Amino acid sequence: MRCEQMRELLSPYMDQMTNEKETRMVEAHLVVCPECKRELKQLQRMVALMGNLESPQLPEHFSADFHRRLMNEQPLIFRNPELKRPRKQAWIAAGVAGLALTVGVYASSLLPMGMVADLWQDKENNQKKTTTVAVDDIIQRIQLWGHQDKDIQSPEQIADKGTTATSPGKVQNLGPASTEQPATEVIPEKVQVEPKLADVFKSTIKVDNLNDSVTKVVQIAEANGAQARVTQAGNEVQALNGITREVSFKVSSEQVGAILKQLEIVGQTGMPVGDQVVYTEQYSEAVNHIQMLENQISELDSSDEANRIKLQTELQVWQDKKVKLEKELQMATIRVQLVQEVNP
Amino acid sequence: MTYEEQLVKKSLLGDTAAFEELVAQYQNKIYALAYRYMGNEEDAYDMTQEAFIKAFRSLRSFKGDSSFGTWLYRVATNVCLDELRKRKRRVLTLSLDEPLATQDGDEVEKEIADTSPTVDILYEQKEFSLYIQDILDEMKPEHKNAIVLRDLMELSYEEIAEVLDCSIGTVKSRLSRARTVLRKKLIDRELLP
Repeated sequence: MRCEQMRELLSPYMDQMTNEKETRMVEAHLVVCPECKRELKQLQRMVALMGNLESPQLPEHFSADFHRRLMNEQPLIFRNPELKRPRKQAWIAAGVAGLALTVGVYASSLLPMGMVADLWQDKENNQKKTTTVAVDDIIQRIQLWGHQDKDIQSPEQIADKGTTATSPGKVQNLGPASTEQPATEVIPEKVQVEPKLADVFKSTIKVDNLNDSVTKVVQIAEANGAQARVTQAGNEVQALNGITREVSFKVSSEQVGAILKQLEIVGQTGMPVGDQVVYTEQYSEAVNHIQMLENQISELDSSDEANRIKLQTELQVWQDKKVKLEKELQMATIRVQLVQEVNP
Repeated sequence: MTYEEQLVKKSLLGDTAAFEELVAQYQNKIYALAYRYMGNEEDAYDMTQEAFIKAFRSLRSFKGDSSFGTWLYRVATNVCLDELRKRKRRVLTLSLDEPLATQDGDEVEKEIADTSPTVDILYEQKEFSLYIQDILDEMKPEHKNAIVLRDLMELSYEEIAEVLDCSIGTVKSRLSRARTVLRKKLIDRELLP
């Protein structure tokens, strides 16, 4: 160990802050080096001097002075700011987050068909956990909040009664007579909001023979109980030299996974893109009408037969609409775009 | 919860009496620290007040990941350094009217070998303190910090790391260099035997 290296270590060594190795090195060096030994002694003397230094005493009037100072401080009452954030805001935040989730999962066309199929299965199983909300949904609810006097149940509350799955964190079901605002029911971030969205799956498959492939896809559709529609593909397909056809069909959500796997036989599958058909507005409309009509009916005079019949007929119409929408919502549309590239 | 922790908690809720109790615990140390940074008693006094007021205001930022004392040192260090930066010149004031601090007689004899009269010894002691202060004022802030916190306030390396918000390794090297600088200056002024 040379003296220059030692210099750096003397200080921590003196404070007993050197590690084992360093300590041994220093001590070994000090034995043979009088220069460094002298320097260490000087260091020790210096630190001792500093330690003995007199510090001025704090004047006694400090406490009184400080007390006065403290009292002059703005009344600092450390209150936790209780932000009564309008629940809407938090709710929207949750909604937007949910939307981002949805977009993320579907639009990330980085997943191979098979994987998407698996994800799709997972989605089915985890439907309860998804918090996906369409922007329309959000707007809808905001509009609903504006209507103070209406007894409006939010769609998911009605869905609770019906077919869709409920989950623990769900909003409580309000009875028809309740005058509570939906807004007060919505607990931000914990509410599981059911999407009123029907899934659409778009996939592009490159094929060698278009007609053969179209037939294959149609067969797959029919094998799964769906009716296929064959059209000329729209603007989405950008194949320069290719000819295209689109085969679309609707199946129930549970079938999608299997079908996507089956489609892999048809040809080189591109990456699927997810989309959604938004039924929310329509659904909400139906739900609201139903609610409204039910209320009106219940408020009728028991002898008022004429109006009763009228309202009940209307109610039936809306209920039918709702059922139809619910069926739609359970279906997923698969749109397969087949591209046959023509060799130049 | 320790008694100090209780006081801190109460202070957070606005209990000024609790805070003043905390102040009483630390005021001498903080004053000593401030004195070494500012170089004179008047400024030290003001800075001590400032430091505690600032601590009161920013109590919420005390996370409890260091000791309260260390946190206070940090606040005080920053208050002093900020003030020093604002000022352009450091003026060393030698006031002969200030009461001389008394020293343990034995200690004094150890320090100074020859048999000078007591008054002179005490005066020299004070002078020495002022010399040290003078030298400290010449030093770079990071070196000054290290010397003040370790050799004057006698904090541990860990505590210093917390106050200066750096690693212990940094403390080691800064202190080492600072002491080298100080040693050289003392030798130059023939203050180090």
